[in-house]
Amino acid sequence: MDKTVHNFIESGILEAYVTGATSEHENEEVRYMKQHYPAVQKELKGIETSLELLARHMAIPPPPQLWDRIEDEISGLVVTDKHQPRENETDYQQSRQPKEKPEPDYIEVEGQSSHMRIHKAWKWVFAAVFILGKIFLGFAIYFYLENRQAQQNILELKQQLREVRGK
Amino acid sequence: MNLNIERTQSLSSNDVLVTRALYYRYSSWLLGYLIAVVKDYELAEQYMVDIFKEVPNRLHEFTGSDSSPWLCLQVLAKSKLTGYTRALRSGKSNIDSSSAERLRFDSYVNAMTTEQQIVFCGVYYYQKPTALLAQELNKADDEVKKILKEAFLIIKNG
Repeated sequence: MDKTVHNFIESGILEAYVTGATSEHENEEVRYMKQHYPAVQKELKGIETSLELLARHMAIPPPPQLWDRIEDEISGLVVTDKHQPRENETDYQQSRQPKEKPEPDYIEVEGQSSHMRIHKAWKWVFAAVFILGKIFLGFAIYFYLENRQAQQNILELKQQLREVRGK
Repeated sequence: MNLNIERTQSLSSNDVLVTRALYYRYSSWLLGYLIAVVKDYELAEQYMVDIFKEVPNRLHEFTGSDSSPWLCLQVLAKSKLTGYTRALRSGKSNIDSSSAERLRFDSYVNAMTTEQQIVFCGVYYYQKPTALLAQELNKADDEVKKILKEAFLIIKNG
């Protein structure tokens, strides 16, 4: 290995660069060396691996609901198709024209998704509604059968009454 | 009025998916790092939300850079923590107390000498430039960088 490169690596500047502790001038120097010397590039990868090792060692699992919180925050942003030009891009020229009316003091947020997001607690409500529905259906079938049986009994009794009167 | 500029940018659902993948891969690492810096679980969680909320808008930094995603995420985290670490740095007795607190749970740092701990923790957790540390320790900048390299060697060798 070139002695200059060796000294550069051994100086500790790469470690300082990866952790963001270098000056702008040093950053440029590292970027130049990285571009021109594969050994510097390899050393930088090694430092990144050390940082990953440390991070893995210090890892603390986040609470399960934290992603939902983040997703809720992200969903507050406007989700659009990237292939469609943005409104502010197409109307760029128009937006440069001085406007007669001042901008309102709020941001318009338009939901474009056809899906609805609800809180997880609603699953218990849906389960309760489903179970209650089944119970009511059971009662309905029971009373229907009871009613049919009663009507049959009435018909039989009427028949017997007619027979008794006929005698 | 305080407008949030991030909210004016458009996102695709794909951006959210990539962010979720990054979250599942690195959230525990990031939370560990944040707790080590702020030493407050709830505050660290709030920082997590703030950081990952910004990831979809900065995915180009993850894809455009040849650095690992973890490093990019850490750069983002450090930019969010700048105000906090600056406030910490303005405190007088921060160096000794911070490294002493770290000794209790970080075995890698535990294996370092006091000087290495001060330099490593100063750079890694409190975003101190090596020039500032050199001033604080009354050493040359080159010397501080060498101490930092030794600290990294300890981590590398486990």
